[in-house]
Amino acid sequence: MGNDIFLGNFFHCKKHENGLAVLVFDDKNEKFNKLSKNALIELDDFLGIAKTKSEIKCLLIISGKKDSFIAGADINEIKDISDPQDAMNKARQGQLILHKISKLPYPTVAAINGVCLGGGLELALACDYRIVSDHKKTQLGLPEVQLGIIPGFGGSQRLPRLIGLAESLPMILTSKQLNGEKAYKMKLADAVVAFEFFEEHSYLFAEDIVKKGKNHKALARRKKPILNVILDSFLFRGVIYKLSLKSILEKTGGHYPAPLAAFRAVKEGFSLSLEEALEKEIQHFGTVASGKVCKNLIQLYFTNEALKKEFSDTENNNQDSSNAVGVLGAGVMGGGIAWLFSNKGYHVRLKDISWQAILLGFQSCKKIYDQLIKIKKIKRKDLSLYMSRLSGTLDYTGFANTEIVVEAILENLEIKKKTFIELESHVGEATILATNTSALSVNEMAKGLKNPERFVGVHFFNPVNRMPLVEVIAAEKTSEKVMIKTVGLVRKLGKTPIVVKDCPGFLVNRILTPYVNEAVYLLQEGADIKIVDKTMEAFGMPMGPFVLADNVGLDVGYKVAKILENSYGARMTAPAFLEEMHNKKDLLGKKTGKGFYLHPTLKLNQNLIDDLKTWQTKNNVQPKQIDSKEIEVRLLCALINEASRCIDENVVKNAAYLDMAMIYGTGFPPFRGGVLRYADEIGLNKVLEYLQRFAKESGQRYAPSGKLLQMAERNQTFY
Amino acid sequence: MGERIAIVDGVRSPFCRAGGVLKNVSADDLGVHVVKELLARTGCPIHEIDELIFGNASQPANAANIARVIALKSGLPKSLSAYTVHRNCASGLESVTTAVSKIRAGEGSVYIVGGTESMSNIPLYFNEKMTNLFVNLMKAKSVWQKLGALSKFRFSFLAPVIAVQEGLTDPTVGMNMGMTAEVLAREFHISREEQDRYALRSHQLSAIARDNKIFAQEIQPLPVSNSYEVIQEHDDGVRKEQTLEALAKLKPYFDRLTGTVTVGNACGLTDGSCAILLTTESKAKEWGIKPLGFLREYAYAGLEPERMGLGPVYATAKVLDKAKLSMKEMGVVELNEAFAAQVIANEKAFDSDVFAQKYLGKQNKVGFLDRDKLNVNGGAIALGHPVGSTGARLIVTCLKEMKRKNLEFGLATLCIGGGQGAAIILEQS
Repeated sequence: MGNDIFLGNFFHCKKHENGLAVLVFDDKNEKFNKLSKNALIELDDFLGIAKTKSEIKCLLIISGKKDSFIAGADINEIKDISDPQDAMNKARQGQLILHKISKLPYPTVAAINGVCLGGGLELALACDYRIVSDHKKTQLGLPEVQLGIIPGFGGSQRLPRLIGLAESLPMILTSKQLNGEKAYKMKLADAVVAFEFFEEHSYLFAEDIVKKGKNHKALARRKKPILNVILDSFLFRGVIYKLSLKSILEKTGGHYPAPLAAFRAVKEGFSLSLEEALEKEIQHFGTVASGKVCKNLIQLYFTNEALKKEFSDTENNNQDSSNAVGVLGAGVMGGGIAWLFSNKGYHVRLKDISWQAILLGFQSCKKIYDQLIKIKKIKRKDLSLYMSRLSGTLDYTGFANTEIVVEAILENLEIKKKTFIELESHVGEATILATNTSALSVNEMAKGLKNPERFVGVHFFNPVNRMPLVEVIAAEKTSEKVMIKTVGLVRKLGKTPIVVKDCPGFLVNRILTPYVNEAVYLLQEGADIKIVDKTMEAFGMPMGPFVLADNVGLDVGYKVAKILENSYGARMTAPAFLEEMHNKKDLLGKKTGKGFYLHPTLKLNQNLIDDLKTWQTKNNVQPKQIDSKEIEVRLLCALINEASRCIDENVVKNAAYLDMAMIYGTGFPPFRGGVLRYADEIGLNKVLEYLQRFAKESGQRYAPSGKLLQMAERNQTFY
Repeated sequence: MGERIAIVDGVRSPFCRAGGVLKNVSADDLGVHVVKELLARTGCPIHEIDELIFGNASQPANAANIARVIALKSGLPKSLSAYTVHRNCASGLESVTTAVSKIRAGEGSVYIVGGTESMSNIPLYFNEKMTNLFVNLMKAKSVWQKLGALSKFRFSFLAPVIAVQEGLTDPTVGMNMGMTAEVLAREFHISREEQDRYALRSHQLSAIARDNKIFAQEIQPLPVSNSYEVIQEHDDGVRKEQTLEALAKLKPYFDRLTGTVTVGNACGLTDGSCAILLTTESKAKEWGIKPLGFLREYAYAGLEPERMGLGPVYATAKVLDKAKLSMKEMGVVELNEAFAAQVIANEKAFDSDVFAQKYLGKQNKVGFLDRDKLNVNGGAIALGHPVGSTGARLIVTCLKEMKRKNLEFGLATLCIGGGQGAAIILEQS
């Protein structure tokens, strides 16, 4: 025994000189420390023993993990919460145990190096002092709202009391995280030290506490400046609350209950005693932790974790890369892709057919950097470090040692095929050849290559700098090694790769096309453009289908729609009015200033509406009023129907990944869990009912897919 | 001397008048542009490069050791060493000959060399009095001390020092470059008209060369920062419409009273860069690349700073001796056109036994400088003279001309501010 005070599976505590005791949290079975039920129970045991040890003058709590403190609670346990009572019990248990830390008869110090989130921060808040490192992995935050819950172990009450309302509300409501330096400046931490010296300085800090007790300068430092005192006072609290509430409602559209619940927990608890306030936190925790939105968000969390493991480079095949890449085509996509690579340190060789075209690519790239400079992500004087990574060429010089060449030229199969054959003779054996096509066949393009194993599709979304999704498509002969390398590269670029099959439209555009087509069919039948868009925005989409179409570009959209019509047949028939619109050459949406709307004013395009009326008269269509509910259901059923076919044909590995792709690729609302998650929620029988009715009333294109019929019959669900 | 030194290939940026199109492009970015293009065109295996040596005269403060900055920004490995050389107008040539010495000494076998200059970005700086005031202000601690320091200010302190003017003035003899050209115009009895005619020739020949796409072979077009709305493909100093009348209208710039040197018959301040890949003959064979040409020999010579323009004749005398060749064998000559007067002075000196006896310690003249071989594609009067780059540019232009005409030997030579000359003999097999 000797110096050991406690030895368990998660914690062990040793006595040191000068009255210092050090509690080490190290879950040997996990990569990160989590406050799971078992860990909390063991902590409870420890605290029972610790409070009796009168020889301890200060308890230092550190993590046994190299670069992390405590990552949070165990999300699996949150997933399993079955009802509000269950939720409150779990929260209460954790709260009570952490509260015991604050009740120990000697000071406690949390030494934080690395990630300290959720329950981890709540444990640290229950301590008397916190010391942090300046490691870039040191992040302190309360990300609970991202999972649809609120801090339940005391965080919503302790944090505002420590750093004030103005600073704590963004952390609690928007999961804003602080690094070591910021945490120190906000007085969330009492000291910040260089991470290479962290352990010895933590010990010194704790010993200093023993020596100086209440006279320690950290306590004096916490005295709130006059401004904060005023802001937290009764007079101004109201203003802060009002602004916060407004911001929440704006950002969430009222769809996410967690930020509201967190807000109420803070507001109602702030003026009470700590014990009473903690009870308020438990109550509000109960209102959200078993809810549908929470379950959906947690499902997405697990899906994302699983997605990260797909095609991972376990054998570490990636030796040093040449860090040179090529991009063919300096249009909007080419320029954006050039930005993406140059931003991560790659040198980009940009080829096009004329210098004027190449200049456009440079301009697109620079525009994105200008945006980053504006929001202070990079300094203006560093701009040339990034832009000097781009170089232009009219021929294939400079492509020989590239790691990958991404083609983003005209959407024309013959031209692309020819280009790739030409390109292949100018690159090394190891160079990956990739196409950014959005609707043509990856497999077709691979034909004619000497080494088709290194051919792959990487479909970026517009605008490249902001859209996180990249569809990665294997051709028939694409090797596993190349897939792993490509997926790894996309991750390195900060994007989320999802592997999909080579079918026309791949996954996202294939599902989105009937949705946008349907919007135009609705228009033909008499629906109002603004009502349609507002309906879908109210549903949770970031923008309605007509705004989306204008943003993407009606020429691009039309082209994709026709390709899919050719490939999939009658169900993807482009609506007749869309053909009419296409014949008017200048109706391209945002880029020409007019489409469904006028840009940038976003007023309705009256000419278009007149044309529509003319078309309806000519085609003997009696326009009728269609209400929001009907609009919403028709559009969502279009999505669900096509999505079910994608599952049937194994376009993507599973329903969860399909939903992830739709969320990342189109902004489908995360709180709904995804297209197929939503389908399960409505109930497949109900979906079928709708589809059959629409098929009769509006068109055979609505005929339910074989997959849906089958699943409904067997009472199956997608999840 | 061992193996022949191969000049594998060379690339340059468009040369543009300072304060114009390229004024927002830093000297290091100009260098990066040509180094990257050189690597792309030659396919040189990066890990085989021994060092990057670049010439630069103005040494911008925000890119100390500009060669290293260029190497890193070009994507070359951190392990590659790099340094900057300065021999005034021949800095671009100095980088080449320094690498040659290293190859001959067995230090390495693959070098990226060249030069860069952004004369647009040569700063104005505070004069000594203003600088002292700032220093005293920074040293002052108390408010009183600060006020005391400030009180010494006089408006005349604000008069800036124009660094480019300083750079082009020889401190040991107190003459700027233009004045040294006047010295030669007098010594060699060169009239204003002769100089203007030579200047016209430079523009005409450059214009023809540009139209025949001769320079297009050397130049890599540059997307111009910061807005990237312009692609600069050509040198913009060339004036196809230049006339003797227009030249005659100009007033003498350096000697207002009795001078003959004008801005029209002198080279202009210019921005530009050039990069060359240097290796041994056997290495080039190993790579399977046919080099542009080979370096036969080089020499530098010193003379009075006041007559610096004669640098070429002094250096050429030395290099011909070293290589045991004669002027007759030189198929093409690139003699940098710092000033028309200076070029013509050299022509006369090259062809004079008396000059050779008086100044070069030789019995016979260096050799007749045939106008049919001299600067056949024009020169710096039309193209401009970015000080750090020209030396390298002359080599590239000379070799490409030798290749087109299938000539065995060529001479590239420059005068150097401060009183030196540089000469290099190139050969093709």
